[in-house]
Amino acid sequence: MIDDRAVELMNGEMDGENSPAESREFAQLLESSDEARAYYEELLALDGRLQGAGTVKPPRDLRARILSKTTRAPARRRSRRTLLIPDNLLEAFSPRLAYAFAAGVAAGLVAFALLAGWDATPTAPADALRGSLLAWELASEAESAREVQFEMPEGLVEGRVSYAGPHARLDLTVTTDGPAELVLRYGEQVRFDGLVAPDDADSHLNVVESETRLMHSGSGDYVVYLSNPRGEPFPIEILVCGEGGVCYAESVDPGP
Amino acid sequence: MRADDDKKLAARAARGDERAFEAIVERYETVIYNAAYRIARDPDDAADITQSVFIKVYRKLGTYDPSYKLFSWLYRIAVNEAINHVKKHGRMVAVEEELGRSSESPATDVARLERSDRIQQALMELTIEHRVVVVLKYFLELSYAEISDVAGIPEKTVKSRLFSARQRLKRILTDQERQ
Repeated sequence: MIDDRAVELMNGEMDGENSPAESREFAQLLESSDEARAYYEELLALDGRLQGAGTVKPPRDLRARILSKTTRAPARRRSRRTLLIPDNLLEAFSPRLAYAFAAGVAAGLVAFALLAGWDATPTAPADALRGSLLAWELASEAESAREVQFEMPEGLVEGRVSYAGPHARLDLTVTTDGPAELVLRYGEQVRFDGLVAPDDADSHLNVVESETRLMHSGSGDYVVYLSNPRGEPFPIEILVCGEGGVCYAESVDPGP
Repeated sequence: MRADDDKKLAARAARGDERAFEAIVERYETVIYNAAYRIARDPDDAADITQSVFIKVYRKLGTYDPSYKLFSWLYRIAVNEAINHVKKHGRMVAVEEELGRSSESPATDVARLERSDRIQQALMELTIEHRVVVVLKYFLELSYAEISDVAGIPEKTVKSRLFSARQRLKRILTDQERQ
Protein backbone atom coordinates (compact mmCIF):
# COMPACT_ATOMS: atom_id res chain seq x y z
CA MET A 1 0.00 0.00 0.00
CA ILE A 2 1.38 3.42 -1.04
CA ASP A 3 0.59 5.92 1.67
CA ASP A 4 0.64 9.72 1.52
CA ARG A 5 4.12 9.92 3.00
CA ALA A 6 5.48 7.57 0.33
CA VAL A 7 3.84 9.64 -2.44
CA GLU A 8 5.32 12.82 -0.98
CA LEU A 9 8.83 11.29 -0.77
CA MET A 10 8.67 10.01 -4.35
CA ASN A 11 7.44 13.28 -5.78
CA GLY A 12 9.96 15.25 -3.76
CA GLU A 13 12.81 13.03 -4.89
CA MET A 14 11.81 13.32 -8.52
CA ASP A 15 11.58 17.11 -8.23
CA GLY A 16 14.92 17.39 -6.41
CA GLU A 17 13.15 18.93 -3.41
CA ASN A 18 13.92 16.30 -0.75
CA SER A 19 16.27 17.08 2.11
CA PRO A 20 19.18 14.61 2.67
CA ALA A 21 17.18 12.95 5.45
CA GLU A 22 14.14 12.62 3.20
CA SER A 23 16.30 11.18 0.42
CA ARG A 24 17.59 8.51 2.84
CA GLU A 25 13.99 7.74 3.87
CA PHE A 26 13.04 7.49 0.19
CA ALA A 27 15.93 5.06 -0.53
CA GLN A 28 14.81 2.83 2.35
CA LEU A 29 11.26 2.91 1.05
CA LEU A 30 12.30 1.70 -2.39
CA GLU A 31 14.49 -1.03 -0.94
CA SER A 32 11.66 -2.36 1.18
CA SER A 33 8.72 -2.21 -1.25
CA ASP A 34 8.29 -3.61 -4.77
CA GLU A 35 5.04 -1.72 -5.02
CA ALA A 36 6.80 1.57 -4.19
CA ARG A 37 9.48 0.84 -6.82
CA ALA A 38 6.84 0.13 -9.47
CA TYR A 39 4.94 3.27 -8.55
CA TYR A 40 8.10 5.37 -8.68
CA GLU A 41 9.00 3.98 -12.10
CA GLU A 42 5.58 5.03 -13.37
CA LEU A 43 6.12 8.49 -11.98
CA LEU A 44 9.52 8.72 -13.66
CA ALA A 45 8.00 7.65 -16.99
CA LEU A 46 5.36 10.37 -16.69
CA ASP A 47 8.05 12.88 -15.76
CA GLY A 48 10.00 11.92 -18.90
CA ARG A 49 6.94 12.31 -21.10
CA LEU A 50 6.15 15.74 -19.71
CA GLN A 51 9.74 16.88 -20.10
CA GLY A 52 9.81 15.55 -23.65
CA ALA A 53 6.75 17.50 -24.73
CA GLY A 54 9.04 20.16 -26.16
CA THR A 55 8.80 23.84 -26.89
CA VAL A 56 6.35 25.38 -29.31
CA LYS A 57 7.72 28.24 -31.37
CA PRO A 58 5.74 31.49 -31.11
CA PRO A 59 4.39 33.05 -34.34
CA ARG A 60 7.11 34.94 -36.20
CA ASP A 61 5.33 38.28 -36.01
CA LEU A 62 4.44 38.08 -32.33
CA ARG A 63 7.36 40.20 -31.11
CA ALA A 64 6.69 42.89 -33.71
CA ARG A 65 3.03 42.90 -32.70
CA ILE A 66 3.92 43.31 -29.04
CA LEU A 67 6.43 46.07 -29.69
CA SER A 68 4.13 47.93 -32.06
CA LYS A 69 1.58 48.12 -29.25
CA THR A 70 4.01 49.08 -26.51
CA THR A 71 7.16 50.91 -27.57
CA ARG A 72 6.89 53.86 -29.94
CA ALA A 73 8.51 51.90 -32.78
CA PRO A 74 8.88 48.20 -33.64
CA ALA A 75 12.15 46.40 -32.96
CA ARG A 76 14.48 47.59 -35.61
CA ARG A 77 18.04 47.15 -36.60
CA ARG A 78 19.58 50.50 -37.30
CA SER A 79 21.89 50.30 -40.24
CA ARG A 80 23.94 52.63 -42.34
CA ARG A 81 22.06 53.97 -45.28
CA THR A 82 23.07 54.66 -48.81
CA LEU A 83 21.78 57.25 -51.24
CA LEU A 84 20.77 55.54 -54.47
CA ILE A 85 20.03 57.56 -57.57
CA PRO A 86 19.34 56.08 -61.01
CA ASP A 87 22.16 56.35 -63.55
CA ASN A 88 20.39 58.81 -65.82
CA LEU A 89 19.89 61.16 -62.89
CA LEU A 90 23.43 60.64 -61.68
CA GLU A 91 24.77 61.72 -65.05
CA ALA A 92 22.91 64.98 -64.70
CA PHE A 93 23.39 65.36 -60.94
CA SER A 94 26.39 63.82 -59.27
CA PRO A 95 26.01 64.76 -55.58
CA ARG A 96 28.91 67.18 -55.62
CA LEU A 97 27.67 68.84 -58.80
CA ALA A 98 24.13 68.89 -57.45
CA TYR A 99 25.12 70.65 -54.26
CA ALA A 100 27.31 73.07 -56.20
CA PHE A 101 24.40 73.70 -58.55
CA ALA A 102 22.02 74.20 -55.63
CA ALA A 103 24.46 76.56 -53.96
CA GLY A 104 24.82 78.46 -57.22
CA VAL A 105 21.06 78.74 -57.67
CA ALA A 106 20.62 79.86 -54.09
CA ALA A 107 23.38 82.47 -54.43
CA GLY A 108 21.86 83.65 -57.71
CA LEU A 109 18.38 83.93 -56.15
CA VAL A 110 19.74 85.91 -53.19
CA ALA A 111 21.69 88.25 -55.51
CA PHE A 112 18.64 88.65 -57.75
CA ALA A 113 16.41 89.29 -54.75
CA LEU A 114 18.78 91.91 -53.40
CA LEU A 115 19.09 93.62 -56.77
CA ALA A 116 15.38 93.51 -57.51
CA GLY A 117 14.24 94.27 -53.96
CA TRP A 118 12.27 90.98 -53.68
CA ASP A 119 11.32 89.19 -50.51
CA ALA A 120 13.94 86.43 -50.49
CA THR A 121 11.94 83.98 -48.29
CA PRO A 122 11.85 80.70 -50.26
CA THR A 123 8.31 79.50 -50.98
CA ALA A 124 8.63 76.82 -53.67
CA PRO A 125 11.34 74.89 -55.44
CA ALA A 126 12.77 76.51 -58.53
CA ASP A 127 11.18 75.15 -61.70
CA ALA A 128 14.59 74.18 -62.99
CA LEU A 129 15.00 71.69 -60.14
CA ARG A 130 11.64 69.97 -60.34
CA GLY A 131 11.90 66.24 -60.83
CA SER A 132 15.17 65.91 -58.97
CA LEU A 133 15.96 64.99 -55.38
CA LEU A 134 16.92 68.57 -54.81
CA ALA A 135 13.37 69.65 -55.56
CA TRP A 136 12.33 67.86 -52.43
CA GLU A 137 15.22 69.07 -50.37
CA LEU A 138 14.40 72.67 -51.36
CA ALA A 139 10.63 72.31 -51.06
CA SER A 140 9.37 74.11 -47.97
CA GLU A 141 6.49 71.83 -46.90
CA ALA A 142 4.61 68.81 -48.17
CA GLU A 143 1.18 69.82 -49.44
CA SER A 144 -0.42 66.62 -48.21
CA ALA A 145 0.64 63.43 -46.47
CA ARG A 146 -0.82 59.98 -45.98
CA GLU A 147 0.10 57.72 -43.08
CA VAL A 148 0.91 54.13 -44.01
CA GLN A 149 0.75 51.20 -41.63
CA PHE A 150 -0.02 47.59 -42.34
CA GLU A 151 0.76 44.42 -40.50
CA MET A 152 1.61 41.10 -42.07
CA PRO A 153 2.24 37.71 -40.48
CA GLU A 154 5.93 38.26 -41.31
CA GLY A 155 6.25 41.84 -40.12
CA LEU A 156 5.16 45.42 -40.32
CA VAL A 157 5.32 48.41 -42.69
CA GLU A 158 4.81 51.90 -41.37
CA GLY A 159 5.59 55.44 -42.38
CA ARG A 160 4.14 58.17 -44.56
CA VAL A 161 3.82 59.29 -48.14
CA SER A 162 4.15 63.06 -48.63
CA TYR A 163 3.07 64.89 -51.75
CA ALA A 164 4.17 68.29 -53.05
CA GLY A 165 2.62 68.85 -56.46
CA PRO A 166 3.83 66.13 -58.78
CA HIS A 167 6.50 64.95 -56.31
CA ALA A 168 6.06 62.17 -53.80
CA ARG A 169 8.36 61.21 -50.99
CA LEU A 170 7.89 57.90 -49.15
CA ASP A 171 9.38 57.50 -45.66
CA LEU A 172 8.92 53.85 -44.79
CA THR A 173 10.12 51.57 -42.01
CA VAL A 174 9.88 47.95 -43.03
CA THR A 175 10.32 45.21 -40.43
CA THR A 176 10.19 41.59 -41.53
CA ASP A 177 11.34 38.36 -39.91
CA GLY A 178 13.09 37.10 -43.01
CA PRO A 179 13.89 38.12 -46.58
CA ALA A 180 11.13 39.99 -48.35
CA GLU A 181 10.72 42.11 -51.44
CA LEU A 182 9.54 45.69 -51.13
CA VAL A 183 7.65 46.71 -54.27
CA LEU A 184 6.39 50.19 -55.13
CA ARG A 185 3.97 50.41 -58.04
CA TYR A 186 2.95 53.58 -59.79
CA GLY A 187 1.88 54.72 -63.26
CA GLU A 188 4.14 54.31 -66.26
CA GLN A 189 4.51 58.06 -66.54
CA VAL A 190 5.96 58.34 -63.03
CA ARG A 191 9.72 58.66 -62.66
CA PHE A 192 11.81 57.09 -59.92
CA ASP A 193 14.10 59.89 -58.69
CA GLY A 194 16.07 58.25 -55.92
CA LEU A 195 16.19 56.15 -52.82
CA VAL A 196 17.87 56.27 -49.44
CA ALA A 197 18.07 52.66 -48.24
CA PRO A 198 19.89 50.42 -45.78
CA ASP A 199 23.24 49.29 -47.18
CA ASP A 200 22.17 45.71 -47.68
CA ALA A 201 19.30 46.67 -49.98
CA ASP A 202 21.27 48.53 -52.63
CA SER A 203 22.60 45.58 -54.63
CA HIS A 204 19.08 44.30 -55.23
CA LEU A 205 17.45 47.48 -56.43
CA ASN A 206 15.46 46.99 -59.62
CA VAL A 207 13.70 49.95 -61.22
CA VAL A 208 11.48 49.24 -64.21
CA GLU A 209 8.96 51.38 -66.05
CA SER A 210 6.15 51.42 -63.53
CA GLU A 211 7.61 49.93 -60.40
CA THR A 212 10.61 49.79 -58.08
CA ARG A 213 11.61 46.53 -56.39
CA LEU A 214 14.22 45.95 -53.76
CA MET A 215 15.15 43.06 -51.55
CA HIS A 216 14.72 43.60 -47.86
CA SER A 217 15.62 41.64 -44.74
CA GLY A 218 15.17 42.39 -41.06
CA SER A 219 14.38 46.00 -40.34
CA GLY A 220 15.23 49.08 -42.35
CA ASP A 221 14.27 52.67 -43.05
CA TYR A 222 13.71 53.77 -46.65
CA VAL A 223 13.15 57.13 -48.28
CA VAL A 224 11.96 56.97 -51.89
CA TYR A 225 11.54 59.94 -54.23
CA LEU A 226 9.15 59.76 -57.18
CA SER A 227 7.81 62.41 -59.51
CA ASN A 228 5.39 62.79 -62.37
CA PRO A 229 6.79 64.78 -65.35
CA ARG A 230 3.19 65.47 -66.38
CA GLY A 231 2.87 67.66 -63.31
CA GLU A 232 0.08 65.75 -61.51
CA PRO A 233 -0.01 63.93 -58.18
CA PHE A 234 -0.28 60.15 -58.56
CA PRO A 235 -1.33 57.09 -56.52
CA ILE A 236 1.24 54.58 -55.27
CA GLU A 237 0.80 50.95 -54.26
CA ILE A 238 3.17 49.62 -51.60
CA LEU A 239 3.64 45.85 -51.46
CA VAL A 240 5.75 43.58 -49.31
CA CYS A 241 6.15 40.03 -50.62
CA GLY A 242 7.40 37.24 -48.38
CA GLU A 243 9.44 34.18 -49.31
CA GLY A 244 6.33 32.19 -50.23
CA GLY A 245 5.36 34.82 -52.80
CA VAL A 246 2.44 36.09 -50.70
CA CYS A 247 2.21 39.87 -50.91
CA TYR A 248 0.58 42.37 -48.60
CA ALA A 249 -0.33 45.71 -50.11
CA GLU A 250 -1.61 49.15 -49.28
CA SER A 251 -2.54 51.83 -51.81
CA VAL A 252 -1.92 55.50 -51.22
CA ASP A 253 -3.85 58.13 -53.11
CA PRO A 254 -2.85 61.81 -53.06
CA GLY A 255 -6.53 62.77 -52.67
CA PRO A 256 -8.18 65.94 -53.94
CA MET B 1 23.86 36.79 -13.24
CA ARG B 2 20.61 36.65 -15.19
CA ALA B 3 18.46 37.82 -12.27
CA ASP B 4 20.62 40.91 -11.77
CA ASP B 5 20.61 41.51 -15.48
CA ASP B 6 16.81 41.22 -15.48
CA LYS B 7 16.53 43.80 -12.73
CA LYS B 8 18.77 46.22 -14.58
CA LEU B 9 16.74 45.73 -17.74
CA ALA B 10 13.49 46.29 -15.83
CA ALA B 11 14.86 49.45 -14.22
CA ARG B 12 15.99 50.81 -17.59
CA ALA B 13 12.68 49.90 -19.22
CA ALA B 14 10.77 51.62 -16.39
CA ARG B 15 12.77 54.78 -17.15
CA GLY B 16 11.56 54.62 -20.73
CA ASP B 17 14.44 52.78 -22.37
CA GLU B 18 12.66 50.98 -25.20
CA ARG B 19 15.68 48.85 -26.06
CA ALA B 20 15.59 47.41 -22.53
CA PHE B 21 11.91 46.57 -22.91
CA GLU B 22 12.59 44.93 -26.25
CA ALA B 23 15.30 42.83 -24.56
CA ILE B 24 12.79 41.69 -21.92
CA VAL B 25 10.31 40.72 -24.64
CA GLU B 26 13.02 38.87 -26.54
CA ARG B 27 14.11 37.00 -23.41
CA TYR B 28 10.66 35.91 -22.19
CA GLU B 29 8.47 35.81 -25.29
CA THR B 30 8.95 32.09 -26.01
CA VAL B 31 8.58 30.87 -22.45
CA ILE B 32 5.45 32.93 -21.83
CA TYR B 33 3.98 31.88 -25.16
CA ASN B 34 4.61 28.22 -24.25
CA ALA B 35 3.07 28.57 -20.81
CA ALA B 36 0.03 30.27 -22.34
CA TYR B 37 -0.20 27.60 -25.01
CA ARG B 38 -0.04 24.77 -22.46
CA ILE B 39 -2.73 26.39 -20.33
CA ALA B 40 -5.04 27.66 -23.09
CA ARG B 41 -4.28 25.03 -25.74
CA ASP B 42 -4.97 27.21 -28.79
CA PRO B 43 -1.98 28.80 -30.59
CA ASP B 44 -3.89 31.98 -31.47
CA ASP B 45 -5.15 32.33 -27.92
CA ALA B 46 -1.59 31.80 -26.67
CA ALA B 47 -0.36 34.61 -28.93
CA ASP B 48 -3.14 36.92 -27.71
CA ILE B 49 -2.36 36.07 -24.09
CA THR B 50 1.38 36.68 -24.62
CA GLN B 51 0.65 40.02 -26.24
CA SER B 52 -1.66 41.06 -23.39
CA VAL B 53 0.95 40.00 -20.84
CA PHE B 54 3.65 42.21 -22.33
CA ILE B 55 1.29 45.15 -22.74
CA LYS B 56 0.44 44.84 -19.02
CA VAL B 57 4.12 44.46 -18.14
CA TYR B 58 4.94 47.59 -20.14
CA ARG B 59 2.23 49.59 -18.38
CA LYS B 60 3.06 48.27 -14.91
CA LEU B 61 6.84 48.45 -15.08
CA GLY B 62 6.77 51.44 -12.76
CA THR B 63 5.17 49.28 -10.05
CA TYR B 64 7.64 46.39 -10.33
CA ASP B 65 9.44 45.80 -7.03
CA PRO B 66 13.07 44.84 -7.80
CA SER B 67 13.34 42.92 -4.53
CA TYR B 68 11.39 40.19 -6.39
CA LYS B 69 12.67 38.25 -9.38
CA LEU B 70 11.50 39.70 -12.67
CA PHE B 71 10.52 36.28 -14.04
CA SER B 72 8.28 35.60 -11.01
CA TRP B 73 6.50 38.87 -11.62
CA LEU B 74 6.17 38.22 -15.36
CA TYR B 75 4.98 34.64 -14.87
CA ARG B 76 2.43 35.72 -12.28
CA ILE B 77 0.96 38.18 -14.77
CA ALA B 78 1.08 35.48 -17.47
CA VAL B 79 -0.64 32.83 -15.34
CA ASN B 80 -3.40 35.23 -14.30
CA GLU B 81 -3.90 36.33 -17.88
CA ALA B 82 -4.03 32.73 -19.12
CA ILE B 83 -6.47 31.64 -16.40
CA ASN B 84 -8.76 34.57 -17.11
CA HIS B 85 -8.60 33.82 -20.82
CA VAL B 86 -9.44 30.14 -20.32
CA LYS B 87 -12.33 31.00 -18.04
CA LYS B 88 -13.72 33.35 -20.67
CA HIS B 89 -13.03 31.23 -23.75
CA GLY B 90 -11.44 27.80 -23.96
CA ARG B 91 -11.18 25.85 -27.14
CA MET B 92 -9.37 22.88 -28.64
CA VAL B 93 -7.38 22.50 -31.86
CA ALA B 94 -6.02 19.50 -33.70
CA VAL B 95 -2.39 18.42 -33.75
CA GLU B 96 -2.14 19.37 -37.45
CA GLU B 97 -2.32 23.02 -36.53
CA GLU B 98 0.83 22.65 -34.49
CA LEU B 99 2.88 21.09 -37.27
CA GLY B 100 3.72 24.36 -38.94
CA ARG B 101 4.75 25.93 -35.67
CA SER B 102 7.46 23.65 -34.38
CA SER B 103 11.11 24.39 -35.15
CA GLU B 104 12.41 20.86 -35.72
CA SER B 105 12.74 18.62 -38.79
CA PRO B 106 9.46 17.24 -40.18
CA ALA B 107 10.08 13.65 -39.01
CA THR B 108 11.07 14.69 -35.50
CA ASP B 109 8.22 17.14 -35.55
CA VAL B 110 5.55 14.54 -36.21
CA ALA B 111 6.79 12.12 -33.55
CA ARG B 112 7.24 14.83 -31.00
CA LEU B 113 3.96 16.50 -31.77
CA GLU B 114 2.04 13.25 -31.51
CA ARG B 115 3.60 12.78 -28.08
CA SER B 116 3.12 16.41 -27.26
CA ASP B 117 -0.50 16.30 -28.37
CA ARG B 118 -1.29 13.36 -26.13
CA ILE B 119 0.30 15.22 -23.24
CA GLN B 120 -1.58 18.35 -24.20
CA GLN B 121 -4.89 16.51 -24.37
CA ALA B 122 -4.19 14.99 -20.99
CA LEU B 123 -3.31 18.41 -19.58
CA MET B 124 -6.61 19.79 -20.81
CA GLU B 125 -8.44 17.17 -18.77
CA LEU B 126 -6.95 18.53 -15.57
CA THR B 127 -8.63 21.28 -13.62
CA ILE B 128 -7.18 24.71 -14.40
CA GLU B 129 -5.55 24.85 -10.93
CA HIS B 130 -3.77 21.53 -11.47
CA ARG B 131 -2.84 22.41 -15.03
CA VAL B 132 -1.21 25.68 -13.96
CA VAL B 133 0.98 23.91 -11.40
CA VAL B 134 2.07 21.29 -13.95
CA VAL B 135 2.85 23.97 -16.54
CA LEU B 136 4.90 25.98 -14.06
CA LYS B 137 6.78 22.86 -13.02
CA TYR B 138 7.47 21.30 -16.42
CA PHE B 139 7.34 24.07 -18.96
CA LEU B 140 8.72 26.92 -16.89
CA GLU B 141 10.90 24.62 -14.78
CA LEU B 142 10.16 26.30 -11.47
CA SER B 143 10.79 24.94 -7.98
CA TYR B 144 8.01 24.43 -5.43
CA ALA B 145 8.88 27.76 -3.77
CA GLU B 146 8.87 29.60 -7.10
CA ILE B 147 5.55 28.01 -8.11
CA SER B 148 4.15 29.05 -4.75
CA ASP B 149 5.27 32.63 -5.40
CA VAL B 150 3.98 32.79 -8.98
CA ALA B 151 0.66 31.03 -8.38
CA GLY B 152 0.10 32.77 -5.05
CA ILE B 153 -0.56 29.56 -3.13
CA PRO B 154 1.25 27.98 -0.16
CA GLU B 155 4.07 25.54 -0.93
CA LYS B 156 2.07 22.75 0.69
CA THR B 157 -0.74 23.37 -1.79
CA VAL B 158 1.78 23.34 -4.65
CA LYS B 159 2.93 19.90 -3.57
CA SER B 160 -0.53 18.45 -3.11
CA ARG B 161 -1.77 19.86 -6.43
CA LEU B 162 1.30 18.59 -8.27
CA PHE B 163 1.02 15.11 -6.76
CA SER B 164 -2.70 14.91 -7.54
CA ALA B 165 -2.13 16.23 -11.05
CA ARG B 166 0.49 13.55 -11.68
CA GLN B 167 -1.83 10.85 -10.42
CA ARG B 168 -4.55 12.07 -12.71
CA LEU B 169 -2.21 12.45 -15.71
CA LYS B 170 -0.94 8.90 -15.22
CA ARG B 171 -4.48 7.59 -15.36
CA ILE B 172 -5.46 9.72 -18.37
CA LEU B 173 -2.39 8.70 -20.36
CA THR B 174 -2.89 5.03 -19.51
CA ASP B 175 -6.50 5.28 -20.69
CA GLN B 176 -5.36 7.01 -23.90
CA GLU B 177 -2.98 4.15 -24.63
CA ARG B 178 -5.67 1.54 -24.10
CA GLN B 179 -7.96 3.20 -26.65
